[in-house]
Amino acid sequence: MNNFGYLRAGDVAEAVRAGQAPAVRFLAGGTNLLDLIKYEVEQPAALIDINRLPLRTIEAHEGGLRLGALATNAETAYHPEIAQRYPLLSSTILAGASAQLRNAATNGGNLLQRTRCLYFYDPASPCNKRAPGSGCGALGGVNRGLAILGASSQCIATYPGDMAVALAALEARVQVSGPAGARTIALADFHRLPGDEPSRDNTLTPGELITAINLPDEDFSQHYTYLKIRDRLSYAFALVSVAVVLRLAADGIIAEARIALGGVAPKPWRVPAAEALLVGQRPSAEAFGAAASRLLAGAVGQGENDFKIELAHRAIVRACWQAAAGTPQSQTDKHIR
Amino acid sequence: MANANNISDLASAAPPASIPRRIEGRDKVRGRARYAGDITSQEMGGVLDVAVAVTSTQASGQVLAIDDAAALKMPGVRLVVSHENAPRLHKIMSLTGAEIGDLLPLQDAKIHYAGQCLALVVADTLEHARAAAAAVEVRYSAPDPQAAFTLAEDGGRTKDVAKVGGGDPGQVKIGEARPAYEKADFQVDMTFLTAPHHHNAMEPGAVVAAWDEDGGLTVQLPTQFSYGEAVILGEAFGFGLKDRLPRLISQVLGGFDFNHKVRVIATLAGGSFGGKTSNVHLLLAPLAAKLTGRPVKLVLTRAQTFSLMPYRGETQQRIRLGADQNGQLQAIIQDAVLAKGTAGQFVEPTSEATVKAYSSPNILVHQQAAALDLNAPGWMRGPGACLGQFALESAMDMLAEKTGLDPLDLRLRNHADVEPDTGKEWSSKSLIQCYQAGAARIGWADRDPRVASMREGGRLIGYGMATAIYPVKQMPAVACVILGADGQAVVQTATQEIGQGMITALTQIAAETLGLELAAVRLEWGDSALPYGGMTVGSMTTLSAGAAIQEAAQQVRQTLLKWVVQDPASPLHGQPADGLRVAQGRLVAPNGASEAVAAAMARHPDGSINEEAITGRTFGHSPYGRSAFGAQFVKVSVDPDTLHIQVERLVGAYAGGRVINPVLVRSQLLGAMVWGLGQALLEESSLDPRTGRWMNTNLAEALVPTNADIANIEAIIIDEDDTRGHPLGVKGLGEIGIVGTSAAIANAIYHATGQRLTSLPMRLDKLLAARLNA
Repeated sequence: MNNFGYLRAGDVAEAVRAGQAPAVRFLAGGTNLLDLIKYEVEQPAALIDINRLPLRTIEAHEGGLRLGALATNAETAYHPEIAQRYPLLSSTILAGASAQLRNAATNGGNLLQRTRCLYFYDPASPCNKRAPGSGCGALGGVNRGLAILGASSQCIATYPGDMAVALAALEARVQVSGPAGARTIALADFHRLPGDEPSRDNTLTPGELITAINLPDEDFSQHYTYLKIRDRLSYAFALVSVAVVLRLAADGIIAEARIALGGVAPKPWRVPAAEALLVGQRPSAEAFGAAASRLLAGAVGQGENDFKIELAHRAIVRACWQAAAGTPQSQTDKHIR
Repeated sequence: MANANNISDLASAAPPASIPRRIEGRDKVRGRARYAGDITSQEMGGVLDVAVAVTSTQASGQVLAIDDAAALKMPGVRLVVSHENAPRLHKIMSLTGAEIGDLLPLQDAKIHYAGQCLALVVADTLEHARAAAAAVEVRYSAPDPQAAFTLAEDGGRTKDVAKVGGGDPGQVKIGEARPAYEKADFQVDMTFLTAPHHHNAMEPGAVVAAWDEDGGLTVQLPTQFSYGEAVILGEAFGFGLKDRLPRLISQVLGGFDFNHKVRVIATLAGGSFGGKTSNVHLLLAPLAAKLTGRPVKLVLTRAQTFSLMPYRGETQQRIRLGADQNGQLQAIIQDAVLAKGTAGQFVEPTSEATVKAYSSPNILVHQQAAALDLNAPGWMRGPGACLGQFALESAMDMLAEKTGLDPLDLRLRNHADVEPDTGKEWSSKSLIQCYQAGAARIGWADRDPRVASMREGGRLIGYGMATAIYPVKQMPAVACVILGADGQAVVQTATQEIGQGMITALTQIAAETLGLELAAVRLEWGDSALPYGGMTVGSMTTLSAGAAIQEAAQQVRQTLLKWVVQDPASPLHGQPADGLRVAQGRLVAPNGASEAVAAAMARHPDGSINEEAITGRTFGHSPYGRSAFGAQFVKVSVDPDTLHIQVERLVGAYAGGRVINPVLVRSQLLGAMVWGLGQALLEESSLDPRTGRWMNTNLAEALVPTNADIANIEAIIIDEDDTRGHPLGVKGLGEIGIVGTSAAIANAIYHATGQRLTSLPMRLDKLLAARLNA
C-alpha cells in the first residue's frame, strides 16, 4: 500500500474539481477500492472521500426513481418502493456479495467495481488492464471465471457485478457530474469493451462523478427473474447470471423482452436482436432457445471457461421460463435457485 | 437406535448445562482472546518491530540481486534481511517431512518455488514495513524451462516412496492382489484426481521472536508442537546440545531435563488443522530479531500463506477392486501418485485407510511421489484418509452397482472383523451401529436405489454413503498436577489449543479425576517451559495429554486421601482411604462424614500436593487394532439444467470411544463434515500452469462453503466402550468427520444423475461435461 493524500469533499463541485488530478480516486464504500490499494493494484495519489456528499437519497424522479449514488446496496434492495416496483433490482442486489458488503457498498461504487480476474489482482502477473502493454496473463492461464463474449486479444476480463446486470435490463441511466457539466449515460453505454484499451472499464471522463442512477417509469414487476449461477450460494461471483424482464399480453404472447447477462462479458451483455426474436412469441423452449443462441452468437471460450457457453444457454432458457411463469422469488431465500 | 446419542439435537436447544462450555469461549466471542498477531510492544517491554516478507514472483532460477537501497531510506525501516546478510542457519535434523528440514530460509540465492521468502523488511510499524517491502527490487535469472508444477507434467520425477505421512509404509503387499484381481468375478478399475487446496485458517501464520541478553530466544506463535518448534530453533540457531536434543528423548524417555535457552510459547490458534507446525516463519522472525537485537513480529498476508505454509497437494489414485460372486472383496489395489515439493519430504498418506477399511485377502498399495517445483505440501485435517476414502468409497459404490448389491449391504459383507493389515482384533469397533444409525436417520431404505430415478420439485435427487475410518494413536506426554492449599488445582502440560477445545476437555478430565469443580482446576498449556505435552496432531491430544493428566490426578487424589485419613484434625480421620469419594470438591466417607478439599488442604503441611506422570511411552502400542469408525450418508439435489449441486442432508454417525465433551465433539465433527463438503464441491487452489504461482490467494476466490451451502447437517455419536484400548476410553474424533464425506457426495451425485465424477472438487462444470459426454 502506498502513501496517498486524502480529501473529504464538501460538495459535488469540489469533488469534481479534485477528481481531475491524475491518479486520484473517489472513495465511497471502499469495498473494492481499499482491497485493490492493499494489493497494490491501485496506487492512488489521493483519495477523495465523497461519503459526506448529499447523494444518499432514493426519491421519485420523472415517474420513476432516482437512486442516490451513495445509497448503499442494502438500502436500495430493501427500499419498499424498489421491492414493489423494481423487484428485479432488489433480487439482483441481494444475490451479490454478503450482507456486510452490501451494507457498505454504494450504488455508484458498484457500477465501478473492477474485474475479479486473478491476473488483474496479482501485480507480479502481466495484465493489460492494470499495466497497459504488459500482456494478458489470463490468456492460456487460470480463466475459468472470465469472458466468453466481448473480450479482445488484450483482455478477457469480465465485469463481475450483479446490480448492473439488472440495471441493464431495466434500462437505467447513470447520472454524472463532471468538469463539462452534468450528463446522463444509458447503462448500456456506461461500461465499455476492452478493445485495445482494456485499462478503461467505462466511458466516464476524468473528474466525472456518478451522482445517481435513474430508473425509468416502467413496470416489470410481474415477469422478471435474476438467475445467478455460481460455485457456492453466497459470497461468490457469478459464473453466469441472467436478468430477464418480460411483458406479456393478456393472451400470453410476449410483448416485450429484455435479457441481460452477467459474468460472461466485460459489461452487462444485451443483444436487442435476440430479445426481438421473442416478441410476438408464446413462451416456449424453442423460442427461448433461439433467443439464447442469438445472445450467445460469437461466444468464444478460453479453455477453462468453455463450459460457460453451454451453461449460459441453459441459464437463459431457465431464466426466461421463470420470468414468464412470474415465479415469485427472493434471493435471501437461498433455496430458490 | 437406543444407544445413539444424537448430538444434532444440541443445535435446536441449548445443550444441557451439565456439559461444560468452552472455557476460553467467552473471550473468543467477545474478541478478547489473544493471538500472536495481537501482541503489542507494551507486552514486549516497549519494543516490537514489524517484519514483512518479500516473496519470489518466479518459481525457479536464481536471485541475481536484491536492491534494497530505496527501501532502506524509507521512514522507520531498520533492516532488510536477505540471503546476502542473513545469519547462517544450521541444518535441522530433528524432523523429516517439513520443508525447513531440507530448505532453510534466506541462506542462498536459489529459488525453489514461487512465493518463496527472499527477504524480510523490518521497520517500526506495519505500515512502514509494508511500504518498504513494496520498494524492494529483486532481479532474477531466467526461470528453468524444465520446472514442473502438476502431476500431469511431472517429467519423469515420479518415484516410489518407502514411507508416507508420519511413517506409514509407502508400499503394502498382502497376499497376491494382481492375480486375485484378474480372476475376480467383478472388477472395478477407476482413476481419481484431487486438486491442491490450502487450509486457509482464519488466522494466518504469525510469530513474535525476542532474543534476550543472555543469548536466549523466546518465540510466541500458534503451533501444534511447542516442544518441537523449540528443538528446531535450537538446531537452526546453533544452540548447545540440551536445546537441540528432542525432549521426547531427554524428558520423556530419559527422565531428565535441563534449563533451556530456547522457549516456545504456543498462543491460541485461529485455526490450525495440521498447517501450523514447522513453518518457515518460525525461523524468519528470530532471524530478523537476531540481526536487529530487538523483538520482531511477523504476520503473513493471506496470499503469503499459500506459499509459506503447507497445503494438501495434488493426488492421482487408481483403484482396482476385485470381488467374488457374493460381493466379497478378493483384491484391493491402490496405485497413487502424490505431489511433494522439491524440498520437504511429506507425502500424503493416501493408503492409511485403504489397508484398514475392508476385509480382503489381497491388498496391494503402490505409492509414488513426484517432486514438483512448488512449496511443500503438508498435513491437513484427515490427512491421507480423506483422499484415500474418496477413491476407495467411490469405487465401492461402483462395485455395488456391478454386483447388484445395495452399497450398504456391500460394505456389511466386507466388514473387517479384524484389522486387515495386521490381523489384530479391534479394541472396539461399532461401525455396524454407525451404518445402522446413519441409514435410519437419512432414510436410506426408503430411497429408490435405481440411478437417476428420484425427483423432487424438478430437481434430481440422489443418496450416497461412505465409510469413515481414522486411526487411534497415542503420543507420549507428561503432566504435572498441583493441588494447592486453597483446594484449587493447577495442571501443567505443554499441549496446544488449536481451536478444538483442548483446554476444556483436559480441564474436565483433571476435575473429574480429582473430584473438583471445573472452576477449581486451571490448565497451563502450550509453553515449552512446562512438562512435555506432545504434538497436537492426528486427533490424539485428548487421549495423549488426557492420559497423563488422568494418571497424575489419580496420584494426587490417592496422596490426598491417604494423608487426610491420617490427619487427626480431619473429620475423616481413621476412615479407610480407599473407601472415600471425592466429588464437587468434597471428600466423603461411606458413613456420611465429609470435609471440603479446600479445608483439608489448608492444613496440609507441604501446602500442596504435586504429582507428575508420564504416559504413552510405547506410543500407544497395543495388542489390539485401534481405530475410530463412522458412516457418512448424504442426500443431494441437482438442477438438471444449471447443474447446481446442493447437499440437502449430511448425516454422519461416528463411534470414537468415550466422549469427554459432546458439545466440543459436535463442533469438531460438524466442522470436519463441512470441510469434507467443501473438499467435495469447492476447494481448489488454482495454479498457473506456466508460472507455478498460486492465483486465487484470497478468501473471495478460494471458495469454502458458506452457511447457505450447508442445508441440513447432523452428527450422531454412537456410545462405545474402548477401555480395553486404553483406560481413558478415548479414541479421538477430531478428523474423522472429513473422511468419506467427499465420496458419499460423489456417490449421491451418481445416484441422482448417473454421472460418476472422479475429480475433486466436483464443480458444476465437471458435471456438465460429464452429462454432455454421456
